[in-house]
Amino acid sequence: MTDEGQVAGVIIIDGKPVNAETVTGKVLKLRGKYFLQVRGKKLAIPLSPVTPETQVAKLVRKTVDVALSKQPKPSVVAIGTWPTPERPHVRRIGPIICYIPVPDLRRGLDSKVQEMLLHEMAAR
Amino acid sequence: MGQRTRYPFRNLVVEVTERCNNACRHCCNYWRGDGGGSSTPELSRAEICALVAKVQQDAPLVQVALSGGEPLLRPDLPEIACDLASRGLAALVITNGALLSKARLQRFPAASFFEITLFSADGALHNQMTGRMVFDRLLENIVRLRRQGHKFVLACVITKLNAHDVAGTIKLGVALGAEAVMLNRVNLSRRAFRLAEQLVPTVAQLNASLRAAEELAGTYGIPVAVSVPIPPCLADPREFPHLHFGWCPRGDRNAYYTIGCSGLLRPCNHSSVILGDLRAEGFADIVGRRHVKEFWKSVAPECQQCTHPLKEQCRGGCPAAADECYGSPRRMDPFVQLSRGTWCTVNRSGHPPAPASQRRCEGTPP
Repeated sequence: MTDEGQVAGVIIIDGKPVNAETVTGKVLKLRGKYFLQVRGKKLAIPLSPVTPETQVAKLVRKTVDVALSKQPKPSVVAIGTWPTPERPHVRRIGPIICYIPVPDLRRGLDSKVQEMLLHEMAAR
Repeated sequence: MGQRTRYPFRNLVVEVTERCNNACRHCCNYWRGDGGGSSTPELSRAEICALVAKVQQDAPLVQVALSGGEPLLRPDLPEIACDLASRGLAALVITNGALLSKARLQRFPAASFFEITLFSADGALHNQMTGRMVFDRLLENIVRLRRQGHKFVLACVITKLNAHDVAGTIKLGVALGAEAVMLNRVNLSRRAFRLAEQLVPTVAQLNASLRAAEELAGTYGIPVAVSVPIPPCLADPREFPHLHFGWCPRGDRNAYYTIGCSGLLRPCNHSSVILGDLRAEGFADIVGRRHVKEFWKSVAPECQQCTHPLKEQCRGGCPAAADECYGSPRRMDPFVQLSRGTWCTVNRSGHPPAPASQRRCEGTPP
């Protein structure tokens, strides 16, 4: 298990970038051995100094991110959770016009946000 | 046989009156400094409808903003909005909200849309900025408006006085049911130019208010438009990914030519320049003139060496404000120098712009 960070969908392992696809999986412990359930398959997690049991044990029954390498052959290269680049959720709308609201801007807010702010302002 | 030119404009502003019940120091209405306002003759309801129809012959209008002054001082404003709706147009009422009585609201078309100014969540500050004790009534009116099924966006003008309370203002607006927020930094008229030191926020204040808005927009998904252009040399839009920045349309398809309350056509509501008399001429004939295009084309010499990626969108900020304050649209938006604190007294001297009543675009028939 590696703790290298993910950069734009590419996992860096031992200094070499690896083409990796990211999916979710689950870590299981069966008959004293650790497995990764991913894409309907159960893959044994080999324990080693690089992948110590203490770290794997913490992930049992947890959903984890899984990086699948396609090269040189399909295999799991990393499991765990690592920070993914933040993508600001900016909804693209049409050109903003000085002074005049554009229809695109009026998409309506989540009513829970309105309710929350109403309580906050009323409490003042 | 020549074909009539059709322009792609979808928006129009109609100033139905120059009168106003507030006394905002930051007001951008050009007539406020010329003693005008209450005595200017106003178009009748039928005349307004006829002029809008005239523009529709030359442009595929979608939305007409009813503005002023305070448009609700016209007792027939709801009926004007109904007239526009019957022509297939969306009517937007730009108002300070103080006159949104139950009886008036009931006469508007169903689910009408309003742009309502709110300057602070602090009632005392809002009243200070409007020059009137209207805050409590405004909040009641907004609640009434929403109960009757109408909708609104909140418009907050950012000045030095209220820049610190942008977050509170946005929260209050959203709590009251605003569908979106427009953050309009103060845009100076000739009169407000004299009060610039009191009104224009510093670059630091401006960025702090934008950061506050950015946090709310990013955290709660509140749609926030920075509508009056802020030159990116003052606040870089790339630092505020959740805010939607607008630029001066400069005569492109997003332009909103403005019909004054006596029928004279202007480039926009910020400008006092008269392009023509829509009562006597066609819309296409007026906006097609070379001198009209020259008004929009100008880029301030100070900005021509700009290397910012948004240079082509910005082009020196608001040309109308430059024209109003310096006498030429070919100058940089005065907001830039004033917020930086680099504006100096030499800009006060020289030839002031002609009074608004005489300012006609070159080549416009008298």
